[in-house]
Amino acid sequence: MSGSVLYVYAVSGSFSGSLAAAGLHGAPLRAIADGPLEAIYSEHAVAPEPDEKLLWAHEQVVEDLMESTNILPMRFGSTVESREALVGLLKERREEFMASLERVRGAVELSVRAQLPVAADPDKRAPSAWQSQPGTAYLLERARRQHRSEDAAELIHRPLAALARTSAPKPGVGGPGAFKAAYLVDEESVEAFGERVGELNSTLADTKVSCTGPWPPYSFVSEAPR
Amino acid sequence: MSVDRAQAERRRKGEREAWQARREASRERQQQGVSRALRDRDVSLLDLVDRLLAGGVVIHGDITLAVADVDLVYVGLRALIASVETIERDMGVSLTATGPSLKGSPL
Repeated sequence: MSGSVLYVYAVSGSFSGSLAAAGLHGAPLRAIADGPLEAIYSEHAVAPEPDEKLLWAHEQVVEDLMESTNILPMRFGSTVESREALVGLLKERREEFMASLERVRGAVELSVRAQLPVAADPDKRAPSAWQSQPGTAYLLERARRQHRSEDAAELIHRPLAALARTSAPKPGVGGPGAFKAAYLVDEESVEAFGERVGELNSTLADTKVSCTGPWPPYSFVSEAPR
Repeated sequence: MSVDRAQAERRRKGEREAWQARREASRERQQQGVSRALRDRDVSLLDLVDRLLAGGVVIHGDITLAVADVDLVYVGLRALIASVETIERDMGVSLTATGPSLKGSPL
């Protein structure tokens, strides 16, 4: 197959497993090494466009690799032009990749979303009370939001973070009371983490905490915020 | 010292085996068409999109989906997004709105 782009799935430390599974569109998986690092890729005539099926296919490849070795997952759609470019990437960023691989070794990512109940705001039902004082209304609203996010941190984040190696708040959460975070959890603590999520669900009334995983450590591939 | 090492090795071996057993169990569930251990299918889809399009190692300069283009990618994923909009609403998460959630994860 003479593809024109190399689609990269993951970077790993000296990979010794077999690459049996196929990649996107059934393309065979290949590995290329530079020093202590390897990149797993497949060749394609054109860069694959994301759709639900291909997103899961990418995920499947990365999860399969994760079973046999320590890896850093690539973002969907990461392509390079040639094997030389791929080797160059491994060479150029060796230090960063080695450090990141070490940081995620033996751990997986768990995703947590929760929706805390938003208490009925009595002020909302009596707008006239603060129409004359917009500044007060603003401060009250701010305090309410602040309080809510502290609640989430206190009630959900803290007990979960205690079981995690590290965590990353995930941006883009919608309405008040919404909570979203990623946790890097030791493999042996995954079960305990799931149990604690269950406990949270049974102890926090009107709050749904959902946890998915184990995921490859997508949210923990680099140390510095991007 | 060597006792410590032997213990550590035994522990690692035990951990590895437990992990593989969990993996095996999860694979079986997948084969049965059931979502993974902790997964709920629709929430998984949200998390999948969130991770694969906003997380992971980025190849600077060579990447097809630059961070700034993620919104465009989402336009191309309308069908996918439509199917999860209900969940977003129910869960109060904003994935499709203006896209701040996709401008890269904090780490």
